[in-house]
Amino acid sequence: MVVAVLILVLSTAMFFFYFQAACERILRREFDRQYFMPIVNANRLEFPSIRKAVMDYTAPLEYSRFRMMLKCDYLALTYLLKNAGNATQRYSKEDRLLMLYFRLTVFLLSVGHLFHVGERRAILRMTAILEYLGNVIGRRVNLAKLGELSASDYLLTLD
Amino acid sequence: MRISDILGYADYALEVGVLVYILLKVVRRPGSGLFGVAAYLLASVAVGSARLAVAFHWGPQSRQYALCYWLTDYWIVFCAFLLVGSFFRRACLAKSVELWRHVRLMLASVFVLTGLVAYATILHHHQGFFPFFVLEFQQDLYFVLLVLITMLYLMLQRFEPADDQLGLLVSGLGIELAGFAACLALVYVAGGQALYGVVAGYVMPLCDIGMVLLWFYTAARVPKAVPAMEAQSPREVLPAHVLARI
Repeated sequence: MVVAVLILVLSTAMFFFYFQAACERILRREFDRQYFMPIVNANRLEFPSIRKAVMDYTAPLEYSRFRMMLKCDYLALTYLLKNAGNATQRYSKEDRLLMLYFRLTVFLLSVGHLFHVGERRAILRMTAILEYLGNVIGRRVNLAKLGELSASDYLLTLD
Repeated sequence: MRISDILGYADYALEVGVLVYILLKVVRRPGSGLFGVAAYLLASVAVGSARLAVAFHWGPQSRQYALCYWLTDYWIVFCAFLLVGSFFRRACLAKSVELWRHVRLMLASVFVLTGLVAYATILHHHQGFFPFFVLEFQQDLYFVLLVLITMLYLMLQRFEPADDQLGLLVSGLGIELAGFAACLALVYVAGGQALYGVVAGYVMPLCDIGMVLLWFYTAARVPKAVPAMEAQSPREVLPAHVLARI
């Protein structure tokens, strides 16, 4: 019975570990350039400034404000993900997985805040997810913008 | 039709779809690194078909179905072991042949040891084969595989450059093995037939679906990493007849 309990605990932990590992590997997928900045600027998203603030370890962590700002950014980005330059108006599989991962991280952040453990790491993870979503939207918008232009058309638009 | 039945059929249909996709990919590009995954999915689909056939013929509540279910489960565990071995081989050979020799010995020892323990346990419990001995035994087998795959994952973390495709394939298998081991352990600890119905009907197919979807994503989006060539001098790279002219 003791062995079974041990296996239960370890396997459950490993399940979440592998789920997180898969999500982080998807997040690490590299884009040929940073597409998220125009999206951040156009929509006044705040996750890059939050990341900067969190990475400065001397500054205090404004938990409730950061949490709310990140959730607002998440709502804006998921809306754009579904509606901006998306002909099918549906989320892809990896988008859904990362959205689930974001919600799980929000939950872990709340738990971590209760015990004052791993808050910075959870917030950084949330900003990484938002950056990935921003990159996806940015690249899609970029493709849509240039999609119908031929090389010569594009060059003519450059002054 | 119950939700658990729909989940089971969805899992089976998804496996067939992803198998066809990966097989096409393997046929078109033999070096895509997905052969082991295709073989495992093929075994899994064959097991699913056999279980469906037995369930239709004798009914899902029959002893024949239970026997078929557990025997095919051993087969799947064996295939998973081979798949883990192939993942180890790929990871080690990208680094050095010597490392693979050591790991191969370790894998063979684990396999022989597990086989001996399995044989001894079955001999000891052959009177009361069902139901809890099987649960305990399967949970142990899945846990052994989970430990192996975790060792592989930790090994991959140390290797540079990272093989993202292998990492995702390993994570997918890890999700399934961890889910299965946890479910079986939960049933064994809680000791309820009703709980087993919930776990086998809902949670285990969901773990399987998670793995198959992650493999599909990997096959569609993440190419196999090309091992970096070690720096060589022109003398080693150029053919002999060219060198003779210099």
